[in-house]
Amino acid sequence: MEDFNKFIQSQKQALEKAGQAGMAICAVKDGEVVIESCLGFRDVDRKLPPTPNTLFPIGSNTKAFTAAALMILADRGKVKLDAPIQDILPELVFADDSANTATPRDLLCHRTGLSRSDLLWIMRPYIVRKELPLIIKGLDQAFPFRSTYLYNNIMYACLGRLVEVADGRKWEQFVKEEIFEPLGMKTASFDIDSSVSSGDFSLAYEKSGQNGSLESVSFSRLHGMAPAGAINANIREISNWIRLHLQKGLFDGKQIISESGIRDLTNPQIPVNDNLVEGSEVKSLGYALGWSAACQRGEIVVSHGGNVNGSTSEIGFMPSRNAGIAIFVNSGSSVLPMAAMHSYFDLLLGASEKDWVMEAEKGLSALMEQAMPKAETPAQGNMSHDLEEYAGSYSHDAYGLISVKPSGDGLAIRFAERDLALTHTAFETFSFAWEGIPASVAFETGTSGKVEAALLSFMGSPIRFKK
Amino acid sequence: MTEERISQIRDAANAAIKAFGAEGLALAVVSEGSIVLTEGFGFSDKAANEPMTENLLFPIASTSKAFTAACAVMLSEDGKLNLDKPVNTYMPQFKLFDPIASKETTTRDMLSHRTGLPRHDLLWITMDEAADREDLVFNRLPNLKPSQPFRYLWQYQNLIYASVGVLVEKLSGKPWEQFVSERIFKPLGMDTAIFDSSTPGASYAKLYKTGDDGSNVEAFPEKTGAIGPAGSIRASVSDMSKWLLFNIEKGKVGDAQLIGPAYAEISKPNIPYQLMPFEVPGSVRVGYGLGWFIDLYKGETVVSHGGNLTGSSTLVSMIPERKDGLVILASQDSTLMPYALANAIYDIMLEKGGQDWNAFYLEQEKAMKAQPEQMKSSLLATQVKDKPLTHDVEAYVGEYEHPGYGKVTIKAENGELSCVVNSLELKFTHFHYDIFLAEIVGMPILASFQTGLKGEIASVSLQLEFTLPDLIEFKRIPKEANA
Repeated sequence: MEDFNKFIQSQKQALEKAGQAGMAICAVKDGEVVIESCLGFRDVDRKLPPTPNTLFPIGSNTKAFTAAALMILADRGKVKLDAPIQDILPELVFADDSANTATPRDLLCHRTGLSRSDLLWIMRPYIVRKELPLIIKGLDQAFPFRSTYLYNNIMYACLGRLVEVADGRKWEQFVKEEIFEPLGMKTASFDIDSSVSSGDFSLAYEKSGQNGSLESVSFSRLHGMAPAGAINANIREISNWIRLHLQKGLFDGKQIISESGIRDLTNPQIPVNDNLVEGSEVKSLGYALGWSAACQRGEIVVSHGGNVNGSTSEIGFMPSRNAGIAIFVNSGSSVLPMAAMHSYFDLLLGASEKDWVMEAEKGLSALMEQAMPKAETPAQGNMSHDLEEYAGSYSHDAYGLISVKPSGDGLAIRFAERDLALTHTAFETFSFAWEGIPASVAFETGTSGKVEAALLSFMGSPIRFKK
Repeated sequence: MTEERISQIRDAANAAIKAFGAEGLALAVVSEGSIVLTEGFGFSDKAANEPMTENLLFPIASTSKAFTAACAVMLSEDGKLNLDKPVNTYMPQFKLFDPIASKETTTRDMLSHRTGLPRHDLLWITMDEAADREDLVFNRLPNLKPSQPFRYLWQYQNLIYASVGVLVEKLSGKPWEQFVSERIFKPLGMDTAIFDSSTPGASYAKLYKTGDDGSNVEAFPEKTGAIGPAGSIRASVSDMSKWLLFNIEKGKVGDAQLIGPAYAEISKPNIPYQLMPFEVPGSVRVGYGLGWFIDLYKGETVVSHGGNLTGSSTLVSMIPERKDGLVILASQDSTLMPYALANAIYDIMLEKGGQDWNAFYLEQEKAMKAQPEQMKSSLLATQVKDKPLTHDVEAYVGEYEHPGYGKVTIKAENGELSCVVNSLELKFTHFHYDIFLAEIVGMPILASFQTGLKGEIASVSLQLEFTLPDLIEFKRIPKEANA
């Protein structure tokens, strides 16, 4: 018998060392729950510990539910994963013509090449799901169609819409009736308000400031984007979701997803380049459909992470050992869930202990460094227009509006429902910050000599807004 | 590597030959960055008492693809090629049937077998040896239908590798063969390596296949002709040990860095693949790189490629992180022996033994070899009895043409029809209606004649590519045009 107590103790130490709030772990092996452990606090101020019934936002682990919903529809012949998605959702149009042949599978494995476009969440948080497909043509293609893996939340929201059009029910209702209910996931929900009203939920925390103290933050609200990451669930109920996969789609005598469907959902489709712990013990195999696959010490692991404001999750299973684990933490951008998963599988494989937390932290900082813009020597130069000439509204087909207006001695930008001061940096460029994220805007002068566009740089390639 | 391990490897090589009933093989092993073994096992020609040696030449077949990929990567480092730009930027004549693929195919797509085209191997197998490479690539290839959407699935494609060869020729201004000789063979000291079109300076290993009575009979490899860049290299295991070491050293030979940082592209997976119809215990497929397969074996990343031409079965394989690797050149047709031996050798090197790989692969080989018979019997089960031909035998005789596959000629002799596809003659056995059964490279296929509006035989369609829903239709060439 494996020493699960030692495993739990080491998770407790890791949680304390990281100074994070709370953690809930549920592990299954050969059909039985072998670990159900809750550590730290779901509510730090009130010193409330999490319980197996505490709801946590599972973030992007929602994607596997959206993928499963489509597989169920494929099993019923209502969706063809390998036929153009426009057959069912003709309003989903890409700017890149080749991408207009995209199939549900292409969206499910993040290979459309469409830019991440996460700015949409920030600029248009209330966009309704049925309108989402209509704005895709305003988004840039980052890579040639199907050439490269590029994680994309917006595409998963469109897949949620596909479920609705193909089936007739709302995505939420479909997932509830076709997945939650047969799995006995009675408390799982799709929005944070239902979690809150249930009473047993985890507050969201992020480390902040110089001393890295825990600070309670607001929950992510996904609205139209829900199929990419809005599910809340507790650890006890999610163990059934893991068992569904280990039992090849069969649960309580009912085939919820076909056996071939489970195989397809977990079969890698495209190599990935963002694995946190790539090394000699864990090697990535690629992204499947709402899941990614890797090989840990020679054994296949199917898993996914989830990250929304103040919450991190990891769900994974190792079919060859008939084992799986879910770890929920109510701290944002935590490496602990992923590290705990690899430790659990190491334990089952009888491998020597490895510091997976350190490994994942190294990977995370490497990825962050890659994503961060390189510090450049700032250019110097004067702006070429009077301040008021930059004022005005600038619009983009997909992202909507930003507006610039005079404010005191300078300019301010209205961005994602906030008024933020613009600081002149050089020539036509001004900088600002949104929730601590640095951003800049560069104005462009047309042939008429008038300011005609604003180039917004925010977490990715610049986006052109026209006056 | 200890003498004890080397002697275990020698035992494994001899055991593989015995288990598979092969005549011989040549083996090179690299351990921790050093060549520790280059040796022949068994016989090149048992009757003549000629042993296998490390200096005899073999058709290395598809392991040639990694050379073509290396050429492309070299040209990218020369600044002449961007692997991720549409290839029609460099050769505007390049076109494919699928308009999206035609517009967007990059060199990386071509080298990783993801253009959407299925094998269409019978085109080159039946093709005249003297066929022109550019004619094949620019005129024939665009008429071959894809079986998958562009970049959707990995499908092994030899003709596309010939296209990369043409790209190398366009960008370098030299024949592909000359480029490979100058940029790879010479600096690596692969002194006896040649192409199937060249005159050998060294002796060939005698090649074998299983004869009708089950014993080994001499076999003769195809000349790859126009598709040379997919498989025309012939080399000794001594030559190949240098190539292996060059790859283990990521493009370096001695102090010369022939491929720089771009070497990383070569063994980076681009698309998941499935080649064999079975799973191998302890092995997980990762993807196809540029001319190489990437797998995990017992947790280690293995980069490898096999090759087959009639009479020759080869494998080049390495574990880059350990700087270990091997080359196996076997003088036996269509055998999985190289894979069995490779796993046995890796088990010795990794000290993770246990399996009888010869038994495992022999069983898979048996199942694969039973396939054509199974296909034939399931075909026969669909036969409709007593449905004769609709026309007199003579009415089918004539010449027919497909813009990609070329010409077929239907002949009649003693009331029996036969079909000449380029250089290959197929005997037609009447199946039902106007449909005939034929056998091509051991596989049963159907051929169907269609009658036109005037009652004439208008076309013949052959099942030359199994993954396509439609047969390949050859339209009748009007007699007047023929004359």
